[in-house]
Amino acid sequence: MARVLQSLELFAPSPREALRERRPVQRRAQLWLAVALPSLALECLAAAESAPLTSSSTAGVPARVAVELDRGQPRVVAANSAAAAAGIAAGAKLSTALALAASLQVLEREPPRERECLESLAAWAETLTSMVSVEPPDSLLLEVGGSLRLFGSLAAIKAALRDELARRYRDFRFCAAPTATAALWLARAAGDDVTDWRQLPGSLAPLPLAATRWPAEVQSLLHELGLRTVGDCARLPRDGFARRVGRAYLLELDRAFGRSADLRAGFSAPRAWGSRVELGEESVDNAIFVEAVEHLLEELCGELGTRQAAIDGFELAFEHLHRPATVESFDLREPTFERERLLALVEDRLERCRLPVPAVAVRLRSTVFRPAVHKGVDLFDAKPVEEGTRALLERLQGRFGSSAVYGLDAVAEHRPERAWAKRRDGERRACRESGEGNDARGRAMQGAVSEWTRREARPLWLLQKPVPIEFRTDSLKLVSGPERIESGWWDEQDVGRDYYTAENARGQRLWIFRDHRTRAWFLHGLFG
Amino acid sequence: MERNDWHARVWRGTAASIARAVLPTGFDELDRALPGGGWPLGAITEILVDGYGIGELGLLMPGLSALTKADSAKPRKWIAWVAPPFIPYAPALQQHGVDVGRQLMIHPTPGSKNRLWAIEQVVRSGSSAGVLAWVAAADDVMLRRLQLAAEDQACWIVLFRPTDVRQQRTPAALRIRLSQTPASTRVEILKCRGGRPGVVDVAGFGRVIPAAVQASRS
Repeated sequence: MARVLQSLELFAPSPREALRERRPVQRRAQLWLAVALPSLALECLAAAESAPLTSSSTAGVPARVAVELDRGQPRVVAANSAAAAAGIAAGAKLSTALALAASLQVLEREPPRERECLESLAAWAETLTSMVSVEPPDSLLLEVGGSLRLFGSLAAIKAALRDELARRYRDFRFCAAPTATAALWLARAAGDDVTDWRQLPGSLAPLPLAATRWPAEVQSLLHELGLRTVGDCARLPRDGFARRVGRAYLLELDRAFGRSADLRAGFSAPRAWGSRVELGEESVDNAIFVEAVEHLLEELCGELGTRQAAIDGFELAFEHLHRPATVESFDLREPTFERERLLALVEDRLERCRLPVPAVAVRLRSTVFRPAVHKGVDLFDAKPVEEGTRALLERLQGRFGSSAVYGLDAVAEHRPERAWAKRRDGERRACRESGEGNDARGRAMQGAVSEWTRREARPLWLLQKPVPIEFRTDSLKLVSGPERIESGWWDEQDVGRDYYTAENARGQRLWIFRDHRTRAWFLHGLFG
Repeated sequence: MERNDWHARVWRGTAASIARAVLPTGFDELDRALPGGGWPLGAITEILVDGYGIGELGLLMPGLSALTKADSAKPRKWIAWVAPPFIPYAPALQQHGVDVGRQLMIHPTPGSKNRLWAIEQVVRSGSSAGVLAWVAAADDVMLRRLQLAAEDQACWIVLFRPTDVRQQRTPAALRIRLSQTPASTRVEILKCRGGRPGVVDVAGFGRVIPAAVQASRS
């Protein structure tokens, strides 16, 4: 009989678990502030539609809902106050909602925009604390335990937060708790602040299970078991709960009650930097610009230094009095935080650019900051070659254009004009891989071609294009040849040529060929 | 005292007294004529030549090949070509044993000022072992700057210039003039720091041994 009773008990405590009652982990006093934006799905869309959120009157606003397809069925995910007044709540079917309010405005949910709104809020929230975490789809977590002393009290932080939230959204809640998960749950359920660990279990216990946002099937399972609140779940034996519901949910309970570490991914706003320097008077003088830019770069690089960041480009705008600013943009080959390098680029550019009219101010705006990579520098070799090369290419391409600087590659190809290639950085590997990676036959073929070209005379100078010449035996003396090159029939750029080395009266040695089809002579190279 | 005697007793720096980095040219007769036995590194070499295709590049090839040789002890540097008049042909460079992957082509916007600027950038970057540049007009001040930069970075600057600049002063360590003779390339040493002017005929480089010529007469 006792055995039957035991099996009826849903969650029999295992002796081991019962003995090891978990205690909250002692650590630095954390205080989490969770922000919940229940109508974000709707409000971020409405904001984009330039609905004046800051206007206080809600009377003129039409009923509006944001919908999302849920298993093929459009469902309301957020409703504004007018819609709510008509009886439309989140979770309702769209058909139901339309039946309740005929003039309903229906907007489709746009998760990327929600994310944007959250991130923009998170970027602002970094003014309150260094630890901000974005909790999609509609929440934000701030760890404010470390900011209490700075702001004086939790109330001061909350006041600042409230002002900003009110400026941005209508529907928001926020709540403080010693654990992040608890703060989130409390905020969603519009609970009260908990600042004391001892009050935490008591405050969490009455929260409805909906606040946990656990999947619907989990919630309905718990509901069938007669569990309605977080407290109901917390009272159950641990291993039974883990087995029946899932270890993940047990872990989440532990996190909420502070029995297990609750780690959150920190958010860090992508930053750019911009500033402006007024020139004393209108000027076209480069020396004055350079001075202004030096000043700006000084500030920028200071900022980059403290943030351990680098930029991969920036923009200089010269502001004029009565016309749009002249903008010069600078792209770097690799992110940098070095002032000298940036300044050198600006100086090169200024040397060449002429402003149409005098400028009154210079504005600098950087690209988004990225983490700086500090390379080890050899103590005795102050300037590594690769470093020098990168800076050199940057300057040359900055002044002459990116197509003016390139490397060389030899290509295994019979047609002389295709036996070489321009190489820009990064391409070499790709080209090699495509050429060699294929098969043994391809490699053998390449080997054969290079072997063959090695034997035959090739001029050090190749002309951009073969130049038609008049072949006269009194002016040109054939020294060697012919070398027959017939190739390229497969890509319809085939050549059929007989190449000769010739010498003219001035002693120049020329690489000439006779075209098989037209019988015309061309100059193709010089033996420099 | 007779003037000649006095002259003979003045100590003059000779090749042996100045230890200077050189790059063997690869041609014995030329090496013998140059102080230290090769191209002066860390300095400007001016090559005065009219027209192209008389072996002006071939003369440099053994040197370039040696400069681009992989040396595990040192990082590999570039050979920069500033404003080459034609395409330096990669297969031919390979035939001469030059590392094609370390050649950097630079085509500055027209104007000798831009070319000289580019040369200076290349040299000062410290990333290049040599620069070949085609420069017609260059003022003395700019050349002096290049010469100093070359000394700083131990870079070999080769300037190809037309022969009509031979009357102009030059800070270059070496100035030679190239011309073609029927059997060889004539190298006239016009100015040579630590050495004497002279004429050397360099034969047999880049020369194609005349094979049977069978021009199709059809």
